[in-house]
Amino acid sequence: MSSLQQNSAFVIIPAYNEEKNIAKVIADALKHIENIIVVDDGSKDATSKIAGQSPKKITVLRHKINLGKGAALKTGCEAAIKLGAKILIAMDGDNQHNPEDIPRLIDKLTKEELDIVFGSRQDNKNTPKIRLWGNKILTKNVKILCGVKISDVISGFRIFTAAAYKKLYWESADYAVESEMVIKTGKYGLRYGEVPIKTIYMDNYKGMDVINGIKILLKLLKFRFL
Amino acid sequence: MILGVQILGAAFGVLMTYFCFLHYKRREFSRPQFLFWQIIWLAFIVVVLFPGLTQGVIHKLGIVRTMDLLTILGIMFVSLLTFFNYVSLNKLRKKIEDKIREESLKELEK
Repeated sequence: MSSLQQNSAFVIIPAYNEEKNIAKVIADALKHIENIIVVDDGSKDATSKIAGQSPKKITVLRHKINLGKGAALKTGCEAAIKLGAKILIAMDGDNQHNPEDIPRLIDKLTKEELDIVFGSRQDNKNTPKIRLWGNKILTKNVKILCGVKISDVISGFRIFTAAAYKKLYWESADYAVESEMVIKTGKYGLRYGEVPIKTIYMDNYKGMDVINGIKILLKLLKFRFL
Repeated sequence: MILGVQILGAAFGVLMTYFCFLHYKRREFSRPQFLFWQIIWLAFIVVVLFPGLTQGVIHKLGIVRTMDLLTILGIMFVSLLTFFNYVSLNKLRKKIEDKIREESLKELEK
């Protein structure tokens, strides 16, 4: 990764009640990237306070109320673009993504001149079964609806250019953001790629659940046809 | 003869006119809003107590009973309200999201 890429790439971490994980996520990410934006999405714990205590200067923004992951990610992207970002890296705040994958994602994006690169989680014995099957159903539906062939539609670890963000500009405030981005990738003909990433599932009760999955399935039709 | 269901319907209508009045007195309803809802609920009470008044209309619409007319109108009205609630809720959600984001991004300028 060149210094130019290093300077123009921003990691955006939407976080909600992540006081236990956020310090490690930031520390690990700082080993690979200088520019980090944490968006505390109205947490009821000390997430933003802990994020603000990072040894290196990072940007911490706070939503006064909880709006949802999609809204927090959008705020982070808007802030990054104001700060001159050319490459935007979306990463979860619950420590499930390994920042060591960031250079591989950036290399894939820049060397192959892509608009967006999806980090695809590899199934392992730790993957909760409900998520495994839910993800498979969503991935198949997305493939049918927009023709984008990736193996993990709902992975939150992805990287895209600032120019692509203008096309991806999502309306989902919740967990449907990931699927909407994939649908828009197909809809606007963005050049995309995929990189396998490691994942550690920290909390089975946070994040996507069955109800969210059903909501996303319904929203997929809306994103595709409206 | 007034049937039990008519008494129940009329009591419901009276209760709703009372709620309208309460919201008006608390200044949560403007005068036109208050009058609109009062007319709706008073018309409902009148139709419930004197179903014969609607005979001309229900025959033209091919409906057999006044009760069926009220049910059909009720479903249409609830569907309409649900649709407008959905639209206004979306608008409200978007406004809140934009406002919260705007405030959050002000942190960058500090």
